[in-house]
Amino acid sequence: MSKERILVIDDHPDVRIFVKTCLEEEGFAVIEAANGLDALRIFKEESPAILILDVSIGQPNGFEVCREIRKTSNVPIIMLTSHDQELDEVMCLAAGADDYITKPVSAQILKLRVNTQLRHSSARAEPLSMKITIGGLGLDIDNREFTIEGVPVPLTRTEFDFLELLMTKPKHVHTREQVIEAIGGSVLYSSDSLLDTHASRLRTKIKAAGGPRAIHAVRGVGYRLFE
Amino acid sequence: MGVRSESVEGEGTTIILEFPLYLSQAEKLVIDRRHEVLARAITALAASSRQDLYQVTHDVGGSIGFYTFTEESRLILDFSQWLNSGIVLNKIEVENRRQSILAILKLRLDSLLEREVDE
Repeated sequence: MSKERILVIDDHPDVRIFVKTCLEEEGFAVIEAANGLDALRIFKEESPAILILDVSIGQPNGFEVCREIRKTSNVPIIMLTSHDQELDEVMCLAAGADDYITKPVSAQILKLRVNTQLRHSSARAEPLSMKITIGGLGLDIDNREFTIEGVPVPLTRTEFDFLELLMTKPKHVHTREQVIEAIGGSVLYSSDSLLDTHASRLRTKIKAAGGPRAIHAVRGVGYRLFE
Repeated sequence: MGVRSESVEGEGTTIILEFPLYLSQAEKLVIDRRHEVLARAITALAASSRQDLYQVTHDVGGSIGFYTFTEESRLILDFSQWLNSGIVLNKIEVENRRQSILAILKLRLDSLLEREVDE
């Protein structure tokens, strides 16, 4: 069986070699890129199973690379940030990343986060035949398409998974932990602001497409679809 | 793996199993490279112009943490965050903080090198 390929993008060779060693030890084939342009080229050529993308890689930066990839692909993207950049976490998710890791990170946590994203990615790839329509919102799970009154609305992979959870059990309150599990995050390392950002982006997209106010936060518990 | 026993009259016998120290590839890499990573960080931080200092502290702080210098990484990233805070910075204060961090890094490097010589 061929090894799953991981594309690691960081301009610092000491970081790349650490990440590469950790992940090769886990059985992955690691491809490296030192800047955003190389990353976009290699991404097209190699079709990696997952990306680990540093934010500060010059121009184009990590956010721009992430947004560019999201135009054509739902590949899991984990972004690397430093704790000196407080806004980074929200910006990573807003750019379409599935998860973020604040540097430095231990080998163990790095492997865990990569495996979690791959596991969820793989689970999502299993065939399902299901279409859900509630209050004008339509979800075609087979084709991973979201529509409002029949008009497609593009969502990121994480946003789709979030909405899928809510739409499969409307009016049911889903705990924050359940949402984190559904979107492929780690309960231990996901902050409240992560979920709020996803929810906020979904509301904005639904509203912009003329949809109803569908996603409601239940204070201290989680989220539900419609009240 | 080694097995040996030690017996003491009137007290009994102790069986001792000795396992070789297992290091993962990542742990080996960190041990092999950490002093050079730290030395490069010191050089970069010492040589950086005031204009480049934010970027250098951001890069160095982000990378050395992977090589067991977690506290030093945090210290440098705090400095980096302060440099990028938007407040007007006093040149002397900036230089004092840089020198203070450099002193900590050099001490750490010296102690690493001493330990490697001992081993």
